[in-house]
Amino acid sequence: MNEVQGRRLHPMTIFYSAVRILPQLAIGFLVMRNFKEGLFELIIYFLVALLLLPSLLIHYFNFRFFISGDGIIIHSGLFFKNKRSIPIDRIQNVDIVQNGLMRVFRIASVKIQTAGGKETEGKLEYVGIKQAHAIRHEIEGLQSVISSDKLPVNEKFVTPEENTQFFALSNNDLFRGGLTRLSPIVLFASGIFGQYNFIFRKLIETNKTINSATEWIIDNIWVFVVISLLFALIISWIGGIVLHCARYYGFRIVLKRRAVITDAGLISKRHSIIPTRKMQSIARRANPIMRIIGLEYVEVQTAGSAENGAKTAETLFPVMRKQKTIECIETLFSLQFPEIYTSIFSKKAYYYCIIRDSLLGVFPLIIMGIFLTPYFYIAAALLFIMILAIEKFRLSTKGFTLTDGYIFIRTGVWTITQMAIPYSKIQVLSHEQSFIERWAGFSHVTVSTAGNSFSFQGTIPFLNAELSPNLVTLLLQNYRINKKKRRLALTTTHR
Amino acid sequence: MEQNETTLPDDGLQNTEAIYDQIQSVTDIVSERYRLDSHIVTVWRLHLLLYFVAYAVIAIILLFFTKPYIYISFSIIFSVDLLFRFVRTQFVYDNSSFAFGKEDIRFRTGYIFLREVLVPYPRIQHIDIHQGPIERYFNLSSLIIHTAGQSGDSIKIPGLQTEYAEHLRTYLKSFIKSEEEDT
Repeated sequence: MNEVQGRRLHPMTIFYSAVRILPQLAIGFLVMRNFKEGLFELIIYFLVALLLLPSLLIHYFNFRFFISGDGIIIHSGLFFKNKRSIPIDRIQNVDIVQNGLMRVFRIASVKIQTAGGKETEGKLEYVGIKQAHAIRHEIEGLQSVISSDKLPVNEKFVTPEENTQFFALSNNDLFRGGLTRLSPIVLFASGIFGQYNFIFRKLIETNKTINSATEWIIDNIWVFVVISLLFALIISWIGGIVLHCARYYGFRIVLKRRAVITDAGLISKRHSIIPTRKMQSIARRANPIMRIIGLEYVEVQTAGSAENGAKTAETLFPVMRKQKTIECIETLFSLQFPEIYTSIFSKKAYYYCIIRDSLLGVFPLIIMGIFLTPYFYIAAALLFIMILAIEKFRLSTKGFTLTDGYIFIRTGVWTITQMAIPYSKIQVLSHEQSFIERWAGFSHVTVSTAGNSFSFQGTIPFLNAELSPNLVTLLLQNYRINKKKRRLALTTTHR
Repeated sequence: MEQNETTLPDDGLQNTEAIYDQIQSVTDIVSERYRLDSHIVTVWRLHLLLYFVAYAVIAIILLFFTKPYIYISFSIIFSVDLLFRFVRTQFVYDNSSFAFGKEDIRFRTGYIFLREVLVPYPRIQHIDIHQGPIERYFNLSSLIIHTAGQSGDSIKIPGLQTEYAEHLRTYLKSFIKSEEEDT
């Protein structure tokens, strides 16, 4: 009966959507309060509510979806009928996302991701929790039927039910990660909060009566600037711990045939499937504090475009002990990261960097010093010393290594990234020279994969201009040799 | 051809000199580099007429609504920009060339940023032929080769004779694999 009429969303969708609209209505209410008071505002408010509620009902009653061997077909809309069909073999991921409020209503959102753009993506908002898992199971079952024809004989009899838990994050590691992972977004937010923090306002307000104290505050305002900065740092640190712990609480990896499934979350649970076919490159990252303690985290880049808001970098292992990540990567992908990287450091490159940065940073400051105040000269001198130190560090960390199946690139100043790109995943190779680089005799080589994440750019800079075409040719040869080999696939014991 | 392919040792870890030696020892077999059709310079210069019209409109608006020094300074900037664009076309043409490797197509272009992009044949997703009105007059087309990578990783080869572009497309199309590769 379901297959003919199609399936509907969970009835709770209407209530959940209504609850979700409430904040927006409240904003409208507040705006109208300023506009006019009295009966008029209430009438408008109810009109808006009356307009919104039927739209929810219409959406609910006109939304139908079908799942069959051909694919998923989603019908929606009353006046503009939309029909979206997604072939089963095009489906890359089936994600189940659930936040705290959804858990109260016992519903979940199912996202069907494809390799294409936003037009080919499907969203089922919202279905019951059990139904969501059933849908995912059903799609995976259909996929395994289709793909089993293409598989080699010995792999045919592995059923998708044979799940093994590969890894679970310990609470110690979870907390350690929170302590060391300094998130810049939280710092930014708390910086804004620090601007308006009430403690100092209260301090100034209470001291208003005492003249000498007020004068002292006005004279030494920099003390308050420093204190509020420290305050922002501490707040961001604590916020970072809380966020990290909430995000990666109960993190575990379950291995399925040709896919890695990660499960995490305290308040909003996230369940994502990363097919190994979709994995492009893998990166170990660590910031200075993690490096001192010996921690790091691992991210994996997946194919797809970042334009439609899909994540192209997924966390494979959250922050944990270095030895453990190395071990896990080796058992999972039989991949070893090198200890030694081929350095690209040369004195010429160092001078080049100093001159480039000075032209961009120090030179404008000196000009400002001429026209404005001489204080800019001090700033320019400080910046120059900083450039000397940072560029030396930056160039010494940069490096690359070529091995049997992978190209490894190490890069970064604050967060040092060690990236492994399999030759078999190379999409496009390019070597580029800017005007100044040509004059200095340098060029850089870029290795592109089907992923689109900016933080995963495989660039090897400061190569000798004559060397870069050779390196590109070498990489191309390695691609040709390796293109049939399955890299970043799960090892046979875990398949 | 086969001797040039260097297979790397299994143990993985290599030191600096070995890798640089290895890179230096690589030799590549490339077909001769093909230049673009020389009429493309004229096409690019005619495209500048559009810029000229746009700049002229802005300049006239500025003439009526702003003070003279703003108008004059903008006019100078516009004319310098136009002159730069005009001169650049010849240099871009001189730097542009494409070639065929053993299993790849490569295109080099640029003036300030010289860039050579190499696309292995199995990575080609689809191929477009594009022809603008001015190009049509000169019987030229541009060939656009798309890959699964970022949008910047597609190759656009301008200034090909239309017949040649179509011939090239059919040639490259034969390499596109019908079954899904391991991306």
